[in-house]
Amino acid sequence: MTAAGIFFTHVRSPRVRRHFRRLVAESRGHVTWHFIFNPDAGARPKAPFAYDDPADVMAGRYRAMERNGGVQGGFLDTAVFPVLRALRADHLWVMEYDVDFAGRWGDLFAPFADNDADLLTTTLTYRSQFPDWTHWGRSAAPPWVAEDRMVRGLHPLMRLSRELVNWYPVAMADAAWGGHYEFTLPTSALAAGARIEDLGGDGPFTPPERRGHTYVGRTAAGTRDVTFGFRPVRPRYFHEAPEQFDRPGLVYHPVKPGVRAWSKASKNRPLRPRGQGRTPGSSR
Amino acid sequence: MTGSGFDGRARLASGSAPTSSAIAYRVTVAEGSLRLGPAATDGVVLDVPLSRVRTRPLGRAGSVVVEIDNSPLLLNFSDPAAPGGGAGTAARARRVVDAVRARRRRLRFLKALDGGRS
Repeated sequence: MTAAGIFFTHVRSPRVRRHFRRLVAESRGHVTWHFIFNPDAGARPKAPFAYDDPADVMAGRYRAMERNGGVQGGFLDTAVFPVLRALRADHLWVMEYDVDFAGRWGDLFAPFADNDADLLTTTLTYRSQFPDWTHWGRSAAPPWVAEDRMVRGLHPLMRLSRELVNWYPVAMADAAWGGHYEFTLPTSALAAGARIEDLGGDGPFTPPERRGHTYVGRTAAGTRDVTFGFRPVRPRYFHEAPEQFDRPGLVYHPVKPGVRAWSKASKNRPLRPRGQGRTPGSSR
Repeated sequence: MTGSGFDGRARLASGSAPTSSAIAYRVTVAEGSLRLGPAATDGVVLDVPLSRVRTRPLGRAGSVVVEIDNSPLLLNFSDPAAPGGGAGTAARARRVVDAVRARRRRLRFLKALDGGRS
């Protein structure tokens, strides 16, 4: 099995570049990474290779993204999937710039090399297990998708099979799908018969051997000691301040290196625009 | 194939441009709906009423653009196992035969869509 990955960022600062270089160096032999820079709120990021027109590949979602005013708030899929489709590997990782690992990156990816799941992501929960999720209100699915098969997750770090990279845009041709891709991706994948697993954590899609591994996420019991979630925000990368990552061997999110924490007001704008993106961007 | 509907396989991908990322699907037209499912699973990727389906046949043998709610999908009814290369007479003959079969499958698919709407 071959694996490629896209490192997705709307910030191209030296700190983010160093973070990317550590990722590439420490996961060499496991994942071939590509730096994808999305300088604005649109869905046409700059990639080091050609990819198909997002407005054609994901026409319906693209129109919804435009009505939304950009990819922020749930439409990052319109930028990510056309780019992924251009890569030839069996497995495709997606990592946003604000994900970090308290350890050597290769140690994170190596255990998944022989895993044949179609979707590996985080914090997967059924609707009934997380009824207060902010985005359920505007989530919509075709009538043949049962409510008890609706799933949401958190995807700043995920891995997809080539098949799922094909299935998802096809599914989204049906305008009955709507809402945040944290919902549309895992729910449509489940309907397609995809094999879905949680990268770790402690949820309904976590395999027993990974329970408590990879990250600590929000659970039904609450948000104590969360390493991978919406909050808390860490201001420095692991390579800059390893002492601030108190649990080794886990992934962390979000890390905002000179970037405002996400909110509807900030939309990820950099704290200081010097040499960095200035418009709403990629993460969340 | 079925008598009034369509039950076959095609390689497809989203978008209207040919792409090497197309993969095999089960394609079913029955009971007023178009259903697409991965060939590799028994799941469903898309299931929509025919009233929301439009088609644009292409010149390529066996290909058709299907628009669902104005979102294009490119279906190709060629046999994925058919030889793609080779310059010999036998290879060319196999390609011609596959193209003819693909056109027939596309025609049956389009007829099933039309019949299902009426």
